[in-house]
Amino acid sequence: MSLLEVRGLTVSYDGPRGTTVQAVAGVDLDVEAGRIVALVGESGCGKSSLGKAAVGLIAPSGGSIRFAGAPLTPLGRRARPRPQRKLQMVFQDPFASLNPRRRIGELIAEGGLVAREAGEAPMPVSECLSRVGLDPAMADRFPHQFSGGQRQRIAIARALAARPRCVVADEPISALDASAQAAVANLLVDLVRDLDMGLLLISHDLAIVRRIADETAVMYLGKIVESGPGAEVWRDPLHPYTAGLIRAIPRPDGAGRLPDDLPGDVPDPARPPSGCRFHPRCPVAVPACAAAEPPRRTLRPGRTAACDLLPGPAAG
Amino acid sequence: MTVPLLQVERLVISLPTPDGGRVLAVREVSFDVGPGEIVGIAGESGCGKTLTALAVMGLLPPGGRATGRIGFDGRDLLALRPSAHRAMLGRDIAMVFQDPMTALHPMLSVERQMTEHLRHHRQLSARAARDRAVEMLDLVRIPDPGGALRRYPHQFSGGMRQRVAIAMALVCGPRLLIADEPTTALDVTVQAGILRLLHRLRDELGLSMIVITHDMGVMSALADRVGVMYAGRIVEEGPRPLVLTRPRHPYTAGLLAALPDAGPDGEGAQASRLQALPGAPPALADLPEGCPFLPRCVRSRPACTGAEPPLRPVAPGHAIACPVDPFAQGAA
Amino acid sequence: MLRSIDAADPFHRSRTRVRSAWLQPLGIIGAVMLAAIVLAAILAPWIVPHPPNAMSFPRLQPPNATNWFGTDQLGRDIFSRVVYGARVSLPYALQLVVMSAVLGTVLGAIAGYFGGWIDGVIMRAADLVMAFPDIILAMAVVAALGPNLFNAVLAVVIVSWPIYARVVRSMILTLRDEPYVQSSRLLGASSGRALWRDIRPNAAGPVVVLAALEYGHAVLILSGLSFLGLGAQPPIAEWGSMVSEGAKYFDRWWMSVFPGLAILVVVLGANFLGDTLRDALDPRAAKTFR
Repeated sequence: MSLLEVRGLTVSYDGPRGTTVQAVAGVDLDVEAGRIVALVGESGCGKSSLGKAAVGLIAPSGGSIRFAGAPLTPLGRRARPRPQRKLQMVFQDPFASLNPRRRIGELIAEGGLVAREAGEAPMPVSECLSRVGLDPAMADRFPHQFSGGQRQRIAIARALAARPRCVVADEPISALDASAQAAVANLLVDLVRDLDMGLLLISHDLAIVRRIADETAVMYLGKIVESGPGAEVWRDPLHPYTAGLIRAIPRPDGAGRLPDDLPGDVPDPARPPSGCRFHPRCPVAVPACAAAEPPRRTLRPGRTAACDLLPGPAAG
Repeated sequence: MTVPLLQVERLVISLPTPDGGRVLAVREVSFDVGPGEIVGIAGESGCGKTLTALAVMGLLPPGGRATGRIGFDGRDLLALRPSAHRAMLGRDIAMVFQDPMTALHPMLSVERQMTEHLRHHRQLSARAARDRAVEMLDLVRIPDPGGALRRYPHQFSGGMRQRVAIAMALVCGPRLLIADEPTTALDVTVQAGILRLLHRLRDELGLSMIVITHDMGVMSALADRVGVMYAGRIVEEGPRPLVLTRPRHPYTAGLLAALPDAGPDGEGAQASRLQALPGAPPALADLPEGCPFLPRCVRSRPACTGAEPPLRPVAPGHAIACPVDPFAQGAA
Repeated sequence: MLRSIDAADPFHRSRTRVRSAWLQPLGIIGAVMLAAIVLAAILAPWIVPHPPNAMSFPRLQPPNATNWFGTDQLGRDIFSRVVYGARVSLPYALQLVVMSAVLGTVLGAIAGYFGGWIDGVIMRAADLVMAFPDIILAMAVVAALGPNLFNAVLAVVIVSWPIYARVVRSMILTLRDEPYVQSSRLLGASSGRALWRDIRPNAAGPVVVLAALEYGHAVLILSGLSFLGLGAQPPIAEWGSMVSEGAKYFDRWWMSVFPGLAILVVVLGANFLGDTLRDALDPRAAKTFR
C-alpha cells in the first residue's frame, strides 16, 4: 500500500451553459516514500486539478484518494484532520505562496505546529531555513525582501516544518529564473532523499523531470497515457503523444534543428473526442482508435501506456 | 559585404528609481542585424534584453532615456523625433510579445485590429486592407482566415492567438521583427509550431528578426547568432553553434551547464545533481567594481578585479567580455 | 505560465510608492482643507468671536466687520455657527462611516465565510438596500424613527452598509483561493483561523480606503437630511439646516452660501485625500508587476 494512493480519480467542474467539464477523467497513481513521481502534461491536461484533489484542496467527483492508508477528506470549513497534515503542497507562484504581511520565521513556525500536534518535535525554524539553503538569521524578514527563488525555498521550508511524509509540488520551478530552477530542483531531490519523503512533482518541463524523477506519468486531456521510470519514458516513449511531446522540445545543442510540432490543438475538455482522446492528432491513428477508449495496460514491467496499437499483454 | 539592416551602437539606457535617482539598465550594448538574419538575445530577467528591444521600438517606459545610436536603414532612430519614430512602428519594425492577450485588443475583432494598422500606415482602402489581412492570416496558417477575421482574440487558443499577433505584426510588411519571449507562455507542442512558423517567415519573406528569450532550446532552434547579456551588457556574442556548444564566457558556460539537458539522465532520488549557478544576478543599482559576474565566477583570476572587461574578439565573429577566456583551446 | 521574475518585488515597491504618493498635489490640498476644518472644529470655543446661538445682533445683516459672514433671521452670527457646525458634521459623519464599515464588514465576512443560504440572504438584502436611492431610503427610516441627528445617522448606516459588505465578501472569496491562504489551511488552520490571520490583514486596506472615500459622502448626506428637516433640529448649528433656513431668505445670499461652502470644502478635501489614499494603497497597482 503506497503512501499516497489515487484510484479512479475524477474531478469535474461546472462548465459554461450547464455543461460539466471533467478535468481529471479517471486516474490511478501511486507515490511512495523516498521517491519522486513526476506528472507531466500540457495545459488542459488536468495535472493541476489532480494535484489539488490529491492534497484535498478540491473535492473529487469520483474515485478514491488514500494517504497513509486512510481515506483523504477534502478541505471543508473545519481544520484539516491531523493525520492529513502530513501531506503538504508547494505552489507554483512564489509571490503568492507567502502572506506578505507576516514574517517568514512566523510563517515557517506555523508549519511546525502541525508536527507538534502529531506528537513529534517540530523542525526548528533555523533548521528549516538552513536545509533549504537560507541563512537562519533572515527569519524576521518579510517575504518581499527575498527573490523569487528564495521565496520558493521559504515556501518549501514552511512545508518542511510540518515534517511531511508526502509533498505535492505544483510547478514549483516554472516561475523561477534559470539559475534558481536548477538549485530548487536539487533541493527537492535532497529533501526526498534525506527525509524519506514522497514527492508528486507536477511539471510541464520534461527536461527537468527526466533528470530527477523516479517515475514519470504523462497526462493528456484528463487521463494518464503513459507511465514508467523517469528516464526510460524519455529515452523510449511508448505512447504516440509522449513521443510527440518529446520531439517537440527544442534542444539547446546549437545544431539549429527545428522541433517537430504536433498538429491541431488540445480539444475542449468539455467535449473530448470519442474513443482514444488523442486520436484526432495522432500520427499513427487508425479508424478503430475513434471507437473505443484504450485502457491503460502494463506493457512491460513498470511501463504502462494507454494505446491499443502497442504490442503487449491485453488489459487484465 | 551586406549592409546591416539594424546597427545598435553603444546603446545606454537609464531608468528612474523610486527614490528619484537613475540607474543604468543597459550599459553600452552594440550589435548588428543583417537582412534575413535572426539574432538571439539571451539572458536572465533583469539583464536588459527587453529594454534593448523597447529602445529599438521607441517604447521605453516613462522616464527611460536612451543614448547611443540605433541605425536602421542608415537613419539613427534615437535622433528621430518621437512622432517619426512612432511612424516606423509596425511599418518598418514590428514587435511580438510574450502574452498575445496584451498585444491584442480584447474588444476589437481581428479584422478591425489588423486593417487599422494597414489603413494608417499604408493608406489602403478597406477592401484592399481586408484582402491583405486574409493573406497574412493564411501565411501564418490560421485555418479559415476569412472567418477568423470576424472573431475576437479570446476565441482563439493560445497558440492561435500568437499566430494572429504575428500576422498583425507583419501586416504592413516590416523588415525587422522583434519577438520578446514569443513562446514562453505556450505549451511545448504549440511552441514547436510557432518556432517553425518564425523560421519559415524568415525564409519566405527575408524577414530579419531579433529573438529575445531565456530558453536556450528556443535559441538553438531559431538564432543564427547569439548575444548573451548580463547586468546590462553583452558578455558573449557569436555564431549560434559555437556559443551553444563551446561557450567561452564563464556565465554562458554556467547557464548552459545548469540546464537539465546538460547532464546524464537521473535515477530519481539518486539523481546526479543539476549544476546550479550559485548566487543571483547583481542589482543594477549597485554594481561592484570590475567584472559584474565576478562574485559568481569560478574561473576568475586576479586580473578580474580591475576595470570592467570590454568585449573582445576571441575568434572571427565571436567575442567575449572576459579577460581570462578560460575555455580557449589550449588555455592553461 | 508565469514569466520568470526574480527582481525586487511588487509589495516593496508599493511601500516606497506610498511615500511619494502622499506628495500628490491633490492629496496635499485635500489634507490641508480637511485639517483646516478639523482644527477649526476643535478650537471652536476659543476662536469664534461670538456664541453661536446668541441672538444678539441685528437680523439679516450682510457680512460686515462684526459679523464676518453676516447674521441670520434670528440675529445669530453666521460665522460662529458655521465654525460650530463643523463640531456637528465632522464627528457625526465619522461615527456614521465607522458604524457602516463595521456593520458592513461583519455582514460581508459572514456571507463570505459561510456561503450557502446565509450568503444569499445577506447579499439579497444588500441588493435590496442598494436598489433605492440612498437619501430616499434614509428619509423613510428617519420619518419612521423620528427626526433627529442620531436617527439620521442610524438611517444612513442602514443605507450604507452594503458597499462595505460587498467589498469584504469579494475580498474573502478572492483571498480564499490565494496560495498563501490555502497553504495555511493545509497546515491545519480552520477556515475561521485562516480568515483571521491571513485574510483579515490583507482585506483591511480596501475597507479603509472605501471608508475614507465615503467620508465626504457621509457629510453630504447628513447635511442633506438636515436640509430636509430630518436631521439636526433647531437650534443646533448644522450646515445642512442652515442652508435650508437660508433658502427661505434666498436674496440674503450669505445665509446659505457660507454653510454650503463649508460642506464643499469638507467633501472636496475628503475626496481628494481619499483618492490619494486609494492610489497609494491600491493593490492592483502592485499586481501589475507580476
